[in-house]
Amino acid sequence: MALCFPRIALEALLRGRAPPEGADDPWAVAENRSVLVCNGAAAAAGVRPGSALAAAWALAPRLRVLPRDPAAETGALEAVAAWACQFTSRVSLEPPQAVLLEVEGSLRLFGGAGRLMARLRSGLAGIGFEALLAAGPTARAALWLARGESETLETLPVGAIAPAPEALALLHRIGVGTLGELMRLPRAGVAPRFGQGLLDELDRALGKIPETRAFFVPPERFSAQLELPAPVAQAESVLFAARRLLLQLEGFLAARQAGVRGFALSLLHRGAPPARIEIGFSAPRRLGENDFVLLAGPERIEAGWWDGEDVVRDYFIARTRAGSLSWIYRATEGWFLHGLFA
Amino acid sequence: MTASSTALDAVLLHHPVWRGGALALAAPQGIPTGFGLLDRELPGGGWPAGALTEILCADEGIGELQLVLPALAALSRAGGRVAWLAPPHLPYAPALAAAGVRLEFLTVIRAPGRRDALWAAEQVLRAGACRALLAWLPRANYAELRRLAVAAEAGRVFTALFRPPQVASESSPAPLRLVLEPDDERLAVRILKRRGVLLAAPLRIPIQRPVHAVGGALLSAYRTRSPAARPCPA
Repeated sequence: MALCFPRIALEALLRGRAPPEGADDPWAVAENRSVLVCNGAAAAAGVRPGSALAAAWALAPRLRVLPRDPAAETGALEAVAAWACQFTSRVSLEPPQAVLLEVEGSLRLFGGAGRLMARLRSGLAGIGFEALLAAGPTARAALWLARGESETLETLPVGAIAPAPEALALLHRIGVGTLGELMRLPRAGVAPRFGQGLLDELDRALGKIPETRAFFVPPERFSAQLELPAPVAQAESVLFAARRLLLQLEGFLAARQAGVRGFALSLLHRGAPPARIEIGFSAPRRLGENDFVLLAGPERIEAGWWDGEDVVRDYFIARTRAGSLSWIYRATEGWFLHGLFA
Repeated sequence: MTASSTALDAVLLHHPVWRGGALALAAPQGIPTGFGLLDRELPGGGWPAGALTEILCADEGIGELQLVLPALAALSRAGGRVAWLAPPHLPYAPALAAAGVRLEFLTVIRAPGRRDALWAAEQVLRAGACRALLAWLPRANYAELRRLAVAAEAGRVFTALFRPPQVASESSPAPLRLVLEPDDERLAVRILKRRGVLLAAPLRIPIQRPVHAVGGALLSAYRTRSPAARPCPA
C-alpha cells in the first residue's frame, strides 16, 4: 500500500498551525522563485504549482511564502513512517513524497484494505498530512496508483511513473497517454527509445522482477518537534500542535505495543529560554507479552456494568524476567501492569 | 598510661572507629530489622541510626521494601515519623498498614528532579522530626552523599537509600551497603560493606511474598484468551 503526500513540502512546515476560523490565508512553499506547492486558499486565488512568485503575488497579494526545507520534508516523511509502523512492521520510505507499507499480512486484522485506508487517512489527517492512498500487488504499482490517483494500472497516466521529461514528451508525441498503452507497445522497440530502465520499472510494478526494499527502522526513543510558521499567543494554538505530536507518539507506542509513564513537552520561544513541561501518569502501562511468567490468578474484577461503563479485568500475579513480582491484569485491550510487590 | 587507655576507650566508644577482626562492637545500638539473621550480621545489631544505609537493587518488586518494613512498623508504632522520598511508584497504603506501619506517621515526599530530592533528603535529616527516611536516589555523587551522611549523623535517623547496583563500584560514605537479589521465595542480601569483617556469603532472608508457586505460564500463552472468555485457573 502506498501513502503519497503531494503537499508534504507545505505540510512539513505548516502542520503545527491550528486551522483558522473562517477563510484560510493563502500559503505557498517556493523554490527558485517559483511556487512548488500551495494550499487551497492560494489555489482558489489562481496560484498554481510552477507559477513564478511574482505572478503568484499578483493573483494573491496576501500570499505568504515559505522557502522549501528539504530537511523538514525528510523529517516529516520519517515521522509518518514511524507512525505507520503500528499497522505493519514493513514500512519503507520512498523519498521525497511517499511511504510504502506492506500490509498483506495485516489486512485481515484491520478488516480489509478499504477499512485500513480509512483508518490511515483519518490518522494521517490527525497528525497533519493529507495523503493519496492506493493498494497494489507490488510496492511500485501501489506507488504509481497513488501518485496517478488511478484505480488500475491500465488507465494510469504515464506521467505518474515519473519517467525522464524527454521520455514523457516522446510518449505524448506518439500518442501514449496511459500505462496500458505503454504496455501494449512492443518491448523490443521500447528499450532502445526509452531505455531498459523503463522496462525494468514496469516489470517491477507487475511483479515480474522482484524489488528489494530497505525497511524503515523506527527510532528507539520518541522525539518530535513542530515549528510553528508564525508566533502564537494563545494556548489553544500550542495545544493544537501538541495534539499532533501526541498522536504521533500514540502511533509510535502502538507500533511497539508500549506505553509511557511520562513525557516532556518543551516549548521553545524566540528570544526566551525554553519552557519544559513534564507530564507523568499513574495509569497502568501496557506490557510486552514474553517478559512475564504467571504465578497465580486469575481474579476477576468487574465493575461498571450497571451504567454501560463495563470494565472487566482478570488479575494475575506474575514474575518478570528480572525476578520482580508484579500484579498484572488482562483487559480487552491487552495486558497491563497494575503494581509491584516491593 | 591508664589515663591514655581510658581516653582511647572513650574514643572507641563514642566515635565511629572500628577495628579489624570483628564487627564493630562499639557501634551504637541499631534499630532491629525484624530479621534475626540480618541483625546478627549488622554492627549494632540492626539498622544504623545516624548513618547512611545503601540498599542496591536492580529492579523494583523483588521484595526490597519487605526488608525495611518491620523496622518502619516498629518506629511508627513508637510514634516516630517515617518519610519516603521520591519512591519510583505510588506506595500502596493498605499493604503498608497490613505490615504494621501506622499510616498517620508516614509522609511521602515527591521530588520531580534529582536536586529537589537531594535537597528534600537533607531537610528531612536535619529537621529532626523523622526517625526514618527511605529515599530513592539513583543518581547522587560522592560529595552529595557525604553531605547527606553528615546530616544523618546530626539527626540520628535510620536512612535507607535505594540505588541501582551499578553504583556498587563507586565509593560511598555509607558505612553499610547491601545488595539485594531475588532468590525464589527469599531475598538474597549480600553485605557489600559494613564496619567489621567482610561477609562473603549472601544472607537468605525469608520475606513475605504474595505467592508460593514456582512454575508458571508465559503471558503469551494467554494471547487468545480474552477476559470475556473464562480464563483457566493457573
